Amino acid sequence: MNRAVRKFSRPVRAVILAVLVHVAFGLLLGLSLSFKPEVIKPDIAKPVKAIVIDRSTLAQEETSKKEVEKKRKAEAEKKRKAEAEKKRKKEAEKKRKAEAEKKRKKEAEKKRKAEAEKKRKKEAEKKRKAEAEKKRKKEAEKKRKAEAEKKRKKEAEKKRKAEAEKKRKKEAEKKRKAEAEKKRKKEAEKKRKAEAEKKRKAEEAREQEKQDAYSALGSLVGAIKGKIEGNWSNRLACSGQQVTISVKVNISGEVTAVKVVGDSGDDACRRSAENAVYKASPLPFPDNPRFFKWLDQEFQIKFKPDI
Amino acid sequence: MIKVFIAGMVTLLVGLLSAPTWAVLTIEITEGQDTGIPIAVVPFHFQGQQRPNEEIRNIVSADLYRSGRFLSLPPGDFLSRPSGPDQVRFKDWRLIKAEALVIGHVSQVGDDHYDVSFYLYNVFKEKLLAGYRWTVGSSQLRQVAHQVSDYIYEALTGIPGAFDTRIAYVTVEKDSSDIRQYQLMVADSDGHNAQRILRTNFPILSPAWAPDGKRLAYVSFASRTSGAMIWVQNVETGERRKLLQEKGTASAPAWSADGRRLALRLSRDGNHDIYILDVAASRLTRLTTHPGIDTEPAWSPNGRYLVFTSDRSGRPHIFRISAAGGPAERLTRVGRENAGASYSPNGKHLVMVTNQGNGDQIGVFYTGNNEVKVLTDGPLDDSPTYSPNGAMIMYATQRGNQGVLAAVSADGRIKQILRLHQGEVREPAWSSRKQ
Repeated sequence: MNRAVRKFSRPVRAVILAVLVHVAFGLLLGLSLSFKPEVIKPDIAKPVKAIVIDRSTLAQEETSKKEVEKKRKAEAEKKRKAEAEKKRKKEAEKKRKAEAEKKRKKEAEKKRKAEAEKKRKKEAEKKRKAEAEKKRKKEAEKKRKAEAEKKRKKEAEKKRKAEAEKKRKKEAEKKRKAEAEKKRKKEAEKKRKAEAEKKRKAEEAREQEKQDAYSALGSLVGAIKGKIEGNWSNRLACSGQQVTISVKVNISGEVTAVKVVGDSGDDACRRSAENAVYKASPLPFPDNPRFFKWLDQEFQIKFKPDI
Repeated sequence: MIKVFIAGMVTLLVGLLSAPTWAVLTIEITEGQDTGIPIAVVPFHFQGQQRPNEEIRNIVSADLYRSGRFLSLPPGDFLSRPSGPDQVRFKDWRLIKAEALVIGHVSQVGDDHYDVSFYLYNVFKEKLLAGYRWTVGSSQLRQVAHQVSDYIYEALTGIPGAFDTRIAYVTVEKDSSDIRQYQLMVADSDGHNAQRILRTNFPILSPAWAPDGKRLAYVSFASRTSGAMIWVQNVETGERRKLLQEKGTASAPAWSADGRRLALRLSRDGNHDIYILDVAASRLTRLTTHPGIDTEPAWSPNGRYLVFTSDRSGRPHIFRISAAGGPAERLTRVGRENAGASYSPNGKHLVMVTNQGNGDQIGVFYTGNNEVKVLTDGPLDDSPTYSPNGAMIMYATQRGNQGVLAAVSADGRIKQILRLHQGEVREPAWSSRKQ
């Protein structure tokens, strides 16, 4: 209905409003809901228009009233009779026309109504169809959506599951790897410890061997000293002097090199010391071949006679 | 006498055993065998017709032995007998632990002419230490041998040898008429080549070599009743000069190092005192005036002091006085008696006759610490005289009832009697210079 209102201009709208008011009144008076009241509509419109007269005209009529009154009355009678004839003819025509119009309007209304009904029905059908379509579509959509949702959910579920599986696998892998790493580290640590232990033991053995070598040599110092003293035949040459000889030996204790390193006495003293060492060769030396590498094969003999 | 040394300490400078590096092991040697340097003297190879009587190897070996500084290895031990450098195999000598090797040869190059060469090696260093050559007559072969000894001695001890030197001494013997014959003798340091340079029926006392090694001062007498005479005789020319003719006694002339003065004991002023005689001017200066007996003067090597024997403190002891005179200082306080002192060539020691209760022995007095080291056994050792290098001391001693000469190494380790003469031998004097 709003849609129709908007189609008309303002005056037309006023008319429609009036109709609506009458209809509303009719409804209030409890009248039947037939469409009779609508005949009134053209009558009301004409009289309203004819009554409108201006004031000057009224004044002239006042002045000539008596002269014209007779004529006018004759005229008016004649006219009234013409008018009345005319009016009667017009009324008849009008009535015939109104009847025709009424019939036509009724037909038209009927047709219109039929049309309207048809249209309405059509509209309704259309609407229904549209609704149905809409509904169908909606259903379809809904269904589709449901399907889609279902599918989506399914997909999502699938995906989720896949993800979960993947994650699980990943976790498992991670865990496995961690375990493996842990195990590997443990193994490595174990191995490292074992090796360190082995190394430590080897080190200890080496240290022990070294100590043994030192003590072996240490225990021979007296013998070395004795042998050199037993061969020092010219101690007098070093009286009041001292000379230190650096001696190198091989694994058999044989003297391989003799060098004066310090506190050099005179030639005779040096020579006597060197000769004592040479003659004492081979010097007592640890005979364990494993000891040899630990012993600096060079040591010093200090000749310092107490004379 | 051989001093016994207390065993020394082993100094073992071993670093902490835990230290990463083995600190240098140092072994300290304080003791030795003191056998002397083992030396192999190979008999010199002879090439020629007339083999000389003198065997150089034996002379050298005896010299080296007498010095106390060498142990001459017996030739029977030698594994080879090289005579030239190209024949030396050092291994042969290392095996018998010879520290030094002497080889040489003698080649006759003419009638009584010999070529002598010798080589001295350090066996362990395989190094030639000395090599010399001579061309001499047979009478000089002993001297060549002594020179070889000197080269060896100096090369191996660092001290000049004193084998090629002379000694003088006095002998006493009775002739067929049972009359005492006094002879002044000069010989090589080993007692060989003895030659008489004076013979008299009256005592000869106190021969003393001048620093030039040619002149001898001595005391002799013209008769049993004459006073003492001081003579100086050139041993090479036989020329002699009487420096003093005393009415009383005189003894113990001693040359100053410059050879211009003689210190001696005279009794011309009624007392036995030390005088100094200017040899060229024959002028006497009295050095001591003490009423006790002052005798046996000897110069310090630097000429600033004299030591002499005096009984001024009771028994005889050694005193020292400035050559310019003045108060005398008693040096020896150890032993009952000390007498006949003379300086070692380095001026650090005195050799003297010491009586420490076991008779007369030869002892060394150390001026540094006033200690006395007794070298000989006594009981009648006398007249000690240093070799010019200070390494040996010759002295007079008794064997049986006869006076003989003996030599002792300065450390007292080696003593040897020099059997030179049938008769009594007295008062050796060792020349201060080589021949």
